[in-house]
Amino acid sequence: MCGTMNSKMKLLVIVIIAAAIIIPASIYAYNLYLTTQVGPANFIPSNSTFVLKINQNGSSYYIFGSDKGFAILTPINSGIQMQKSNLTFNNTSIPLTKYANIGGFEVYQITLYNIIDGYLTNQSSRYLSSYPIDDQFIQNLTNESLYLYEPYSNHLIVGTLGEIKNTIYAYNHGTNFSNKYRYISSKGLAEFYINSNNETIWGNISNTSIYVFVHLTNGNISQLYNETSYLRDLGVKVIKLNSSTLELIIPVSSISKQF
Amino acid sequence: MSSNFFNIYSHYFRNYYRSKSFYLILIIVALASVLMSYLTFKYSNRVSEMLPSRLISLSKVNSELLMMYLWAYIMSSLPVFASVFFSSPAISSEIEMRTGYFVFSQPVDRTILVLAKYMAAVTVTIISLLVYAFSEVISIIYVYGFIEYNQLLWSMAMLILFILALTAFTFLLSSIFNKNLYAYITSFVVYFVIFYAVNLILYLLYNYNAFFLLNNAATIIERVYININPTIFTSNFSLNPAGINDIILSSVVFVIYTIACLVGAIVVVENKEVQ
Repeated sequence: MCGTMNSKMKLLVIVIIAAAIIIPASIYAYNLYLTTQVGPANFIPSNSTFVLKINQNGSSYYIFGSDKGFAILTPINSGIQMQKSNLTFNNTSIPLTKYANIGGFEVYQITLYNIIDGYLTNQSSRYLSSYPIDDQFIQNLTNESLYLYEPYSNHLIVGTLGEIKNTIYAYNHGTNFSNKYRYISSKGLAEFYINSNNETIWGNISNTSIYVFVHLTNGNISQLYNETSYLRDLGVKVIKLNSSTLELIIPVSSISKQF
Repeated sequence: MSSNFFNIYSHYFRNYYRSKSFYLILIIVALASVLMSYLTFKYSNRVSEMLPSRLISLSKVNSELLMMYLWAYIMSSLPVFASVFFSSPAISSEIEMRTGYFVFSQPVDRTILVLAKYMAAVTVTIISLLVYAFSEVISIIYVYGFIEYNQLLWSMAMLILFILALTAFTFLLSSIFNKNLYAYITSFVVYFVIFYAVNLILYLLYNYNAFFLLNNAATIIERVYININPTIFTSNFSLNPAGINDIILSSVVFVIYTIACLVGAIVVVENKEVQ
């Protein structure tokens, strides 16, 4: 009888310990699953100082940067296409040079010379045929490079080398924008996120208004209390204002009035 | 307690590697190794033909990663056979062969018995797959002159976690049935039919990737090279490896299966009456 009780107790303890591991692990796995759906947020670094998302014709374009440089994440569509050894952008063909395999991604190099040359060649065939272009002039103009790779199907990231490495590191190490994606998840004309040591600013732009949320980690913006009546006169709706937070909506009409 | 565990582990480990099942698995693994080595030698120059033409020509590193993906793709199926061969009869045979009368009446904790037998089955499964892993390393280094050790180690780590989970899963099925044949068939049917069917249904009807299924999590063994899930129909194709979050997710799924199935097996065995 006592042995049976001990056996039952032992099993109960084992089951409780197992449940204590399995239940939180399952919740963690589900949350992790949501972040592993490969998308823009996986490649935008969490330490980005700014992220701008522009929505156009059902596609989203992301421009982001940090102290490492900047990059643009764009879908490959009719306007921009990546094919063997060249990138086609609005009928302009730009040659690609294989740069390196970084963190499992094939990264390609394009020089600004190639971009300008390709663009002018395209233009000259249509408009500038009577004006010879000094090739050496363009070459001297810049030898700077941009780098690009295909992060996932039908998308490209183009940017400076430092930021390209930053995006690959963000994906490979999970230090990406997934947890902050809510800041730019609405579907207006554009969404923005700016982060510095002292403040975080995010918001969105629609056809009728601009929504802005400012959060200060250091400092005080309560002095803006004196300005609220002026802002209201301009048509700006101040939703929230305290020592660390400012939330407002600026109607587009109020901006157009100023100009 | 630990000496009990080690004695039972040693006993069953010897039983396993002296069994016909072990040599059968070794032959299957050796055959798979020979076939994949043949593929590596014959196909390494043409491996880019697998890719859609729009993709840029392959670098040597990516060519090698693609070949290692193919090796890992086959490797992720081998533990299913090895685990089922070693683990499916682990408990059910004690009942069917009536050795349970003797084994379960010994002054040995049944939990220790299950855990020791489980670890013995895991060990022989890993040993039998070493032949394949060794062949892979030799073939890849011979053909390409180098090997991407970082991805290889990730793949091997995921393989070991998969073996732990799959063996626990087959132990649970083995503890439920009193006949070996039922345990064998159920293990294969659940893994190769039920899991794959659920995966297809959830993906095709509801566009949901069933990350929680063991067969789906097992794809991480090859996805650490190139993140293409062979259990999902998609036109998406890129040569990038799975990210750390994918690796952690599959690892967590393996751990959950291991703990849940082992505890389930222990509970069933502890309450099992040998008639």
